Amino acid sequence: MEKALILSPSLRAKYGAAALKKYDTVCLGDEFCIHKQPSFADLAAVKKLTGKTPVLVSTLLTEPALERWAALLAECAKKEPGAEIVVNDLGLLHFINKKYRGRFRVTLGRLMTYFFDRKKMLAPGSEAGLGLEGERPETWESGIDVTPVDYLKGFLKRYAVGRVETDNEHLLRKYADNTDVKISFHYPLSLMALTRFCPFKGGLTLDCKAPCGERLLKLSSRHLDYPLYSKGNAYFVKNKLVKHPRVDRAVFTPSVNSPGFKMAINEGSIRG
Amino acid sequence: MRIKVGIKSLEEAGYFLRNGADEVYFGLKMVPSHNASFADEEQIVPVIRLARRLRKKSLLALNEIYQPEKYPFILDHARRMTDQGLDGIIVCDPALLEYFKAKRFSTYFVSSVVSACFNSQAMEFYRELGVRRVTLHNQVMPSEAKKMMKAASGMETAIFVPSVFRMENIVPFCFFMYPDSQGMYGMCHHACTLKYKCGRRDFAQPSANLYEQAHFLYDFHKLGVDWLKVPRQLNTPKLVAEFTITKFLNGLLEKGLDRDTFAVALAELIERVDMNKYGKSFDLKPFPKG
Repeated sequence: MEKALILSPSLRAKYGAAALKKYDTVCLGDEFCIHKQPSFADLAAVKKLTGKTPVLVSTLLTEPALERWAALLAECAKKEPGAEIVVNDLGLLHFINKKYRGRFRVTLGRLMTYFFDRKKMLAPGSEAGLGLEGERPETWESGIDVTPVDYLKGFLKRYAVGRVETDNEHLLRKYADNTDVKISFHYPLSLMALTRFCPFKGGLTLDCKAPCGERLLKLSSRHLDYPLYSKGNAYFVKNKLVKHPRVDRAVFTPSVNSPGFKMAINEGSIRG
Repeated sequence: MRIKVGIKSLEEAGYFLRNGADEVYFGLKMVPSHNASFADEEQIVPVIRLARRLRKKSLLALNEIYQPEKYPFILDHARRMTDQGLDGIIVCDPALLEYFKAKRFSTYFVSSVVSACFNSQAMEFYRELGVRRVTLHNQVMPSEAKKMMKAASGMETAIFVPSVFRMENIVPFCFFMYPDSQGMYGMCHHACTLKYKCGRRDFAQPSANLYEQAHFLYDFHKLGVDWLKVPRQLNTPKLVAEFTITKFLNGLLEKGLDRDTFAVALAELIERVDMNKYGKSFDLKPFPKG
């Protein structure tokens, strides 16, 4: 199985060639934050270190972020045709299909696969017998198989999608059992929520130098009988790599435990 | 801006339409979209007729991802309501829109906030499926919306009242749900409002800054956003309060109040009203007497 690493552009200087070459593939960008999207300079720098063109990773894109992606794709179409793009936004998918169909390898990211099939997490206090971290996280998830398989197959064909990504075993099986696309599995963090109200900035921001880095905050609440993790502007539970014959890429998200986090203060918040 | 309100009874429809709402929207419990919905179609028909009689509009919410075996029922339901005079349908599911198209069913489609339209190309994706109004997510900022609306011109837009109804997480990418509610994905667990510990320190998800949100609302008005949306909820007194605040704020904007005065007015109003006294939006409470 191919080993891949998610690398935030802001951290590319931290990783030397030796560290990156431990992985078969570098996935450059961020699935959850518009402020950590790749530029062509980032791509060139990583390629210089590894000798390989990195996979470019996008998130849900605001209009200015989409404009930056349009500029990146224009440059890549000339200098890096055939590059793999992980698309996590319907608009970016629509744009690539209209303007660059066949010129890039398109992968549906985990936001897109969740867009069609949203996992339902069982709530604390329910009868599901919720497990603690690492015990039976799969018991938290149910009822995910929703968008018709025929529609998904047509959608993958229409947008020339060659690979899908997920962090969820139910979704993995849906695509494995019903399609012939390649499948990537993300670990050790499974998405619970995405926001632009970033804890590292105290709220919404148009400009950010990514002070979050790779910090992972472990959160506990008396209302939840499992730990929640905050990384950047998204929230996660832990998951484990699922080995399945159809999963040919394991995508690892690196993180650094950060116990001493002090929240940024949002002075105007109603809740304080 | 025109105001649309989510309702769950004829009484609510009458109250809001006669007191300044330009549109009401609603759903049917059998077709999951929200717990605050009508029990059967027969209760919906008088709402549609009332809206037409008052020269206002009514929309049906079908804004979930539905199982394919439900499609024929949903199509029949949509056709029956449209035949009764329904003005449009709120959607988010591209597969359902394609099914409608294949079955030659067309109406005025509105994309739900659950469609996660954050840019003009996403708006174009939905426009090609027949959508004519887009609900902007409340985490889209005005400077971004301005570019979206310019690049995808010709589509109507709607926003939630940011300072009243704040979603800390981006739907549809929030998976904290109750497993036993009637919606396909359950009801929001509001994990975004919980108090957490991070090590020894307190942690809470950052929420909206009132003054910032006031400026956003001011800017959205200036941008020409067409609709202000007051979302459905089970708690009717709270819904009435949110509508009253929305109408008041919209009135200030329509009168041309300057930005800073508007921001102060909004922040002071929200703090004074203390929406918490109404309880949770998913607590079922009847229409207030008097």
